[in-house]
Amino acid sequence: MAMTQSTAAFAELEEENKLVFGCENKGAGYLYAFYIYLNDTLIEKIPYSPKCRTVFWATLSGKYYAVVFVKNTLAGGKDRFKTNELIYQAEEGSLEAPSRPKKTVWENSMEILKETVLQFPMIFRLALFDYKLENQDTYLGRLWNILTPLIQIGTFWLVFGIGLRQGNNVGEVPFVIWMVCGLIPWFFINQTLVKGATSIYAKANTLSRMKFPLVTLPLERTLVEMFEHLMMLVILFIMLFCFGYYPNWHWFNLIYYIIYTACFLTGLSLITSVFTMFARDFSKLLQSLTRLLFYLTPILWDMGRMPEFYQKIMLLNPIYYSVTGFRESLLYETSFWESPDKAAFFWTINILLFLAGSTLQVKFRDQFIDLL
Amino acid sequence: MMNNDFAVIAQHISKIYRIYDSKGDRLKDLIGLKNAGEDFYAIRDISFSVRKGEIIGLLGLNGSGKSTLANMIAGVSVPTKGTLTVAGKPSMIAISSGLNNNLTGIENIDMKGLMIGMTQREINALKNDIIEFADIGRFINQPVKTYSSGMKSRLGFAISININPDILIIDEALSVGDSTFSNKCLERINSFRERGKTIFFVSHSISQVRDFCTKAIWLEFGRIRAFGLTDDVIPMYERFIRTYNGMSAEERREYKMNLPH
Repeated sequence: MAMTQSTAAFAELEEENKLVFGCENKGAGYLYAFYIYLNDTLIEKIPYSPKCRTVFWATLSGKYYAVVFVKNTLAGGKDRFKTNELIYQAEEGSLEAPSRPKKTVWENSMEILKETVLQFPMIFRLALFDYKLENQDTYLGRLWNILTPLIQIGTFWLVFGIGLRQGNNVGEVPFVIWMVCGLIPWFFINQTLVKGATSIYAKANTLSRMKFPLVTLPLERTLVEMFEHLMMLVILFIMLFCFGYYPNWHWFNLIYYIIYTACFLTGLSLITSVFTMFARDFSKLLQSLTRLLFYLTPILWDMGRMPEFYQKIMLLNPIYYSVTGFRESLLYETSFWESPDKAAFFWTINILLFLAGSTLQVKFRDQFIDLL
Repeated sequence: MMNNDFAVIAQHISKIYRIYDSKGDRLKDLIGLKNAGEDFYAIRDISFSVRKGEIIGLLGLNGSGKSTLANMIAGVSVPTKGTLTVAGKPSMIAISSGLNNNLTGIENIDMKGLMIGMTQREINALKNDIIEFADIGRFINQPVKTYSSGMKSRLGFAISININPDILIIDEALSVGDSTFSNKCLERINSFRERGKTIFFVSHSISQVRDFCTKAIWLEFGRIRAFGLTDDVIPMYERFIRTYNGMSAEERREYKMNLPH
């Protein structure tokens, strides 16, 4: 049986990507089947039916044609016809996926920065909401936010102040107030470090069904902890009054140190939250490291008795900068601009953390939802 | 390229998942020690465009990529390759509605609203509508973990549909809940349709797609098998389902192998 390329069968592109294949209607008793080919490969079989036309929606570019089989059920006999060939060009005309431009570190960071600024009202409202929700399922509620740290302060004071130091002052400052000025910023740092790492992971369940800029979650977490921190500052101020320290304009330095600490923590969480998405082990590791960091940083003990080498190393510790910052402004009437070299150094670290963090975020954020 | 008529334009999009045999392989691949995983194409190089106001049914067998595609249109996940342009605010309704189990119904409404960028005042304005639509009575002040599955999906649906999205994506969500509620939903979706909004509708129910959609995309193993008017696509799909259901397991495997790649 020879295949006839004839006017008896045709292919047409009707609209957009609608291909119509057909052949002349031979009347009663005839059945038609269609084999549709793309680049000479059979892609669709449409079995015998009395319809002499069929529609195919092209999605791939290439050369289309059909072979029409015609069967006469009354008189017997079969025939087949090849339709004309049609070139269908998919939109944009290329089979290759359009390539995405590679971005530089700078462009990535600007993208994240822009997104953060645009979304800031939303992030702020969400953080406030989360802050209100926390500790809601306990009877004492937010009181725990104050009780837990107070109990910790008491414990450390007993062990380090009374036990190890035997009630000695740090210079002229009573140990307990010196310690609290370091512990309060540490509580903020500790909570944000640990929870910042899981900030994206912890929320992802709720987010698995909606469009949400996940990259803003580390900042959101920092804000929640910062609200908590502001509450703690009230306790700190009350304690300072009790020990005879009264507000002076040096205290306004705290605003600078809190902003510095929040930026540092957000930058770090941008990085750690990505790692945690890939391996939950990372957040466990971070918890232990944070505890270690707590004892390595002079929060409970003062540096005076340490070897000079260690003191120099400690000057490079961003957390130490926050902790000493608090002490200097509250107890020693010193302002941050008096050591511009330190400020320059630690803000450079902040910027580097942010550059690294946003690069990681941009590189991996498309995968986050799939990693759950 | 995006002109105002289009709600969604997909150009050669693929969604590739890396699958691993073990956690160890995953780790090796992660730190670049070894190319351990295998690529799985949930969606393989598909292109299509959808005009505003169209109601698109997504058809296909389990594992054909319907939900993956729906997720990408909703902006929940991102194509691995290709570009997907979506004009307007999408909102997705799915069986697992992404509610936080520990929060009450009211708190979930607040949280969802805040997350899409609404202010508390805007949320409060919608709250009554949502609560009324969800119709879960006093449970609205109880944690969502105490809800029945029907209540959860009703609340999820009520939130998603009342935030006034431009593109609504419904992923099998109507198959849960009783007929009273699904009728209520269909009514609401119809009013959406009348306002010229675009809707994507993932369903295994051919009759729902036929009644409801203007066009259909038939997905098969991550590719578009057919895309066109419902009247053209559904008969093809039905024919296919009949043949496929008649196949033995062996034949089905062979069928999957012999598809044009």
